[in-house]
Amino acid sequence: MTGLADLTLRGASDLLAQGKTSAVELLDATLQRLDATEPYVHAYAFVDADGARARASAADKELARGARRSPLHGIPIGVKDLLYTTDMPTEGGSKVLEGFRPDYDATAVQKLREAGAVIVGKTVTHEFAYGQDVPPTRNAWNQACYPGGSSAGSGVAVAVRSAFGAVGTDTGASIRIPASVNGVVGLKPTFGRVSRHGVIGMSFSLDHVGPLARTVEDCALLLQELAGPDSGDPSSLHVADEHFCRELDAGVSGVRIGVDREYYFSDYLTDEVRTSTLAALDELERQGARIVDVRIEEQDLMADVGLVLVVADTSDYHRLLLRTRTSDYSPGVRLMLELGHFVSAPTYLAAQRARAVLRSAVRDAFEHHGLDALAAPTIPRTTMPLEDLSVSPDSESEDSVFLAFLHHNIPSNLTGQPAISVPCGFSSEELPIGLQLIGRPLGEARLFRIARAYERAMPFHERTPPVVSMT
Amino acid sequence: MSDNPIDVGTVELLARLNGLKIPDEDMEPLSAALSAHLASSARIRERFGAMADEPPLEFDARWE
Repeated sequence: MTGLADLTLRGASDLLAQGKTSAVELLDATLQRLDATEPYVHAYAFVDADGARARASAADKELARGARRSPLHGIPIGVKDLLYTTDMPTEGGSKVLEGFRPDYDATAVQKLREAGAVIVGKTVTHEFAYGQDVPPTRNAWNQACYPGGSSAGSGVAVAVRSAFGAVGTDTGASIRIPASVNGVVGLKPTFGRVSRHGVIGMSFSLDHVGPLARTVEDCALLLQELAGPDSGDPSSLHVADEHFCRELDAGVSGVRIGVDREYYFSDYLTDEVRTSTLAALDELERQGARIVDVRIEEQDLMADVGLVLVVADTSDYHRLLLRTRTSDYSPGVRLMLELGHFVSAPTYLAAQRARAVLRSAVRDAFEHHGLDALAAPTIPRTTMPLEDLSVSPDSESEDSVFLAFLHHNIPSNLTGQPAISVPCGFSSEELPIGLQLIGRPLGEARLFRIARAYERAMPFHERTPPVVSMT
Repeated sequence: MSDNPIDVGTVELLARLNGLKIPDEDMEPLSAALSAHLASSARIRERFGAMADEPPLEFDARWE
């Protein structure tokens, strides 16, 4: 089954610009897909069909006047239910915020609206993005499997085409995991690139807001509208405007990509993930990229370090609500919030020191080897049946899936570097595999260029999840 | 849970120190999680607890 909903964001945007379709038609196709797939995947926490139709109609009227705000004009988008929206509830996946309606929009939401995007609804998140519960959302490729998290709904909605793009948040992997396990593209931008104003937080120095989409170009188009300085976010970077598509089709000839095989290709990588990721590196090398072996030993303790910072910072964020609404948190999230109160000041400071050391070591590796990016599997395995999911906070557990995901992803949250996950294959069980590329600070355009070169040669993103054909 | 180095009494004490009221059902799992956290903390402090050259702790993602 193919139709308007199956277009890429760029494809839909071009048709709109040419007058070959309308925003209302795009929305209708999206809502039709949403109605057909939601009973199976539960990607949305809230759908505002009437509001979206009014916005699509307004977008069409503007287009008729020749006023096209941006490539997102008239495009249906999903927004993670951690971002404040004045016209829809913002519950953060928690009973604690049941029925909460903020009186202002998150800056990222405001920017999407200013760009003319049509926000369809709020996508499901793990409770407060903490990943200790099992959300109702199901993986786009196999509904018995984990959909990734915490931006689960955003990844799944994009994969089943019930949104042309979506916004997620990433404190330790939460954009990149759902991108990887649902076969879509997800970008955690440079820290400070996208405002967190009006976003329910976890860690003030690890939280990032970023896009998920079907293609690299679509991700770049979304970032173009989401990025920018914001006085409402003290961490917002005040840097010159960028054109994130400027290098998109420049190819990878001469690009240098580092690989830390000891850190990212350890024994717990599954054979299929190892094979697909190494094949992706071979493909980039075939196109002219230089693959360079690097070793950054300072990364080795970073899952531990990241966890200390996340649990302490998140507990601080929830300190008042935890005291007044204790029983409204799910047990697993509550346990983590309680644990965070017991992180000692010396441990917290040692973790911050470790982070500073890591940042310096990564910068030195990039400079010494002249790197444009590091490459790694986004996560060391494909998704897994829900019953196999282990999210134990017990960091002694050698096989903790939770820690393995952090191991692969949290270094770039600690350093603030941009990181993108792009589909790089499928397992024998038809489950997606993701390649992660980690760039220099503010180097998103270069990441898009490398990821796009790979995607053009190996268009895994064109495969359709069975649930779409089934409905 | 008996081999956890942190017992429930210690968790209660820590909770009081932090002004937290912890539900009874959380005590056992929290003692296990805290024990794991202590081991992780020890690894971090061992490597980064005191350094000859203290790195600056202010944060800016940019390198220049």
